[in-house]
Amino acid sequence: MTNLILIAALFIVGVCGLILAKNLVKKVIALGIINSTVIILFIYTGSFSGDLAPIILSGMENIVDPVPQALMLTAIVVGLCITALALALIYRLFQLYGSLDISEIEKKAKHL
Amino acid sequence: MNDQLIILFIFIPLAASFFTLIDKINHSRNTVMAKTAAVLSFAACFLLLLFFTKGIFSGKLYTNVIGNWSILAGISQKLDSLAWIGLLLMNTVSFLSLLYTFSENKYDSDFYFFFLLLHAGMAGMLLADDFFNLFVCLEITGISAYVMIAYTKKEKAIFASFKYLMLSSLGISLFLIGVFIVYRETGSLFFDDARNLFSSGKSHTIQTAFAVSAMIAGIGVRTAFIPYTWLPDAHAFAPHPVSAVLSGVLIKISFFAVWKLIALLDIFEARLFLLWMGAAIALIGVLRALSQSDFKVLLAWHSVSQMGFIFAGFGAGTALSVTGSMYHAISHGLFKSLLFLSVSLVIIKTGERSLDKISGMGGKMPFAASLFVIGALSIAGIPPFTGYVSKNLILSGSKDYPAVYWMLIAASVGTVASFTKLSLIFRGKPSDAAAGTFVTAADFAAQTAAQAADPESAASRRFTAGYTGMIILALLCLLTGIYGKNIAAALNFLVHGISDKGAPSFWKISEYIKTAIILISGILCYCFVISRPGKYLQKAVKKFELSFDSQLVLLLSGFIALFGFIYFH
Amino acid sequence: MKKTDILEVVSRKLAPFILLFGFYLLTYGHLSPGGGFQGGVTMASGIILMFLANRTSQVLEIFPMRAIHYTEAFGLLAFLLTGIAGLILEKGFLSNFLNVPGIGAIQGGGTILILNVIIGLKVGAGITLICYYLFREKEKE
Repeated sequence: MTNLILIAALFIVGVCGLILAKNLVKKVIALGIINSTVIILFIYTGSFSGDLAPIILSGMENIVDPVPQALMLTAIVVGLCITALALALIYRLFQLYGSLDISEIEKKAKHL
Repeated sequence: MNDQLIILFIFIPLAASFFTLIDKINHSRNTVMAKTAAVLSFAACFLLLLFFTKGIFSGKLYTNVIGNWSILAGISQKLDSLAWIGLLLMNTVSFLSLLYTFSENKYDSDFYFFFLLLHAGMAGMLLADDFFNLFVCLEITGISAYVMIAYTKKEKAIFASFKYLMLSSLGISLFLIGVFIVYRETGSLFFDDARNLFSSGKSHTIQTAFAVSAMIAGIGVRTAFIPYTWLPDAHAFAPHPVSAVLSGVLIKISFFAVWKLIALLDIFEARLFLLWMGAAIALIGVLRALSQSDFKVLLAWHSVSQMGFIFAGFGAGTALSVTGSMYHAISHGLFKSLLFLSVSLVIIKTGERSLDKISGMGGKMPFAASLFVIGALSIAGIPPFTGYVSKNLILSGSKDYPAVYWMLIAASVGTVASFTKLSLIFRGKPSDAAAGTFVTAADFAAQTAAQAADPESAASRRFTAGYTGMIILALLCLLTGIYGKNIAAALNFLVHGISDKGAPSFWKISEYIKTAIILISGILCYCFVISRPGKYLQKAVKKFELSFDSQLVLLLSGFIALFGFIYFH
Repeated sequence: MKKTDILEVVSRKLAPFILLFGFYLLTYGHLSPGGGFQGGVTMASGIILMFLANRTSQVLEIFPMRAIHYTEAFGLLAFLLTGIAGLILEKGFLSNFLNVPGIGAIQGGGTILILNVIIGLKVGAGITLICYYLFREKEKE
């Protein structure tokens, strides 16, 4: 239970960071934290079913449920792409607006 | 064997995107290979759709498990009537928008790569039969949409793309948490297994309510059922054909995913929430649209408003309104892409996109004007165009909720008013920015001949492909309106599985009078809007904009509201 | 910032082993922890290490960008072809058409081994390209 509370706390940290941080890079980091929270959640609860790697040679008893791991592998890949794309966009935004501060960018965007 | 072929809907665009990559590596200037590959891919998808038509209309389902695994271990896909309709809409509108990109001729092979990837992703979303497959395809469509919105590398476009990325990534995390709860409770990711969890007659526990609301809100972000978020900016500042595809197709496909989720899990409360939310955003969207002066921003807010109609129709839950909702999704795909493309012709011609600067282009661009008028009549619901039947189906289906009914009527009035306003592009006296106007056709010919040497106008002469696409869109708007009764009956069969000919006819005097009243009050409403107090009001509405941080908060509060509604209802 | 010789020498000695380990992860992905994506990322990290520590032009001699682009593009094609071969030869897209005996042996994975290698090469090439273009933007300034 403690662990689940910690995971929930991590999620809230991520959301707060996403909303409160002014710097765009920090927002992307916060998004990464949220993404990791979901991954930890899946892997952690998935690990309750056993503690051996699901390799067929070592028998099928007491193995970890492989489905959450496979899913989270995909989620990690997707998270990687999203982060790379977000950083590329931030780089362009910095070139165009000369700032990484979200409120400043919004102010400039309004006057374009 | 036929069942296995449904994977080709994803395979064909992906295979075609390989050729665009080759074009990119060779730095090909004219991107012939990429264009050919894209056209061939759409043609092949059409043939495949035809191949499945007979089976779909005889009520068959096609299921396929990738890799020939057992159904427990594999990724399964399903082609049902909903997916078939979605694929038909997607391929039609996107192909016609693709013709427009050929004419505009300023996109390189990267663009076509993402265009095709977007379609592979959307096909995957429609065919998905389990939560995780849906998640992956959502992300594929998302990533290609972000890139295509930012394609022009203009300031506002990149910022809009960034906002879209952040908001929908937060949404997708919520979706994954919902998936997690479903997986923990059932040990399976299939929609069918999840159905047992939710609709076994018991009231919602806090976990199931949380799961459902997280999943609906997570996908719902893409359909912009929470207004004031990413949609207006993203749709307005994307390249023109991309706006048409995003507005015409992408939000519909996301809506179909929400549809599938709610219909499969049979969650009555979520339907009710969408009903009220839909009526609200239909009104909010129209109010915002009335206050805008940028062409494409105005149209983008109309997408919000029309999505409100679709949601309300779906939420009302009667057979009639659900059919109407599906019908309106199709017709909105047709007329909104036509409107975006016809308006963008003016933007290309003049380089301006604000109603303050442009007016009276009708004499100069009679062709664009007539296409625009067809689109505007369709969206305003004037017979015999396509919006008429679908809007009336939704309205007559939602009569059980009088408040919703009148809100939708008000939104229709606002739609008429704002399109009277937008038609200022083409009517009225020509503005200064439209200088160099040629009044007669002879003048027009002389001018085109004079500019033939100029590469800019050479490009505009080669616009035939784009015009062809738009004319077909306009024809489809007309045809889906005239044959409204037959299409409504077909949709009724596809959506509800009953061949009921009981769809009411809207070709009668009382309905015409109702439409006329809406039309007249819309024009009166427009007269109020351009009066002095109306202008003051416009300014007040326009000033109310949310910062990005508030949009994130709004998204989360939308999710919490949905959760509260489902749990406490 | 000035680069030291230590960094350059160590990276040059370390990178081949990282590449080899990445390839091991690819080929044994169906038998032990690992697989296409992990192996690809590990291989890419070897190349990225060389980019970081050496001059870009030196690395480009070993890994020409055009080749990496082609690996990436043809990775997609090869994956799709393997999939469609499954549809033609067996029942269904991506199904295993190589019925090799020997569970637990390296060839026992059938098409999974092939797909792992393809995905690994594609992912490795893709991530190398992402990083290369981000580095190049920095050099342009």
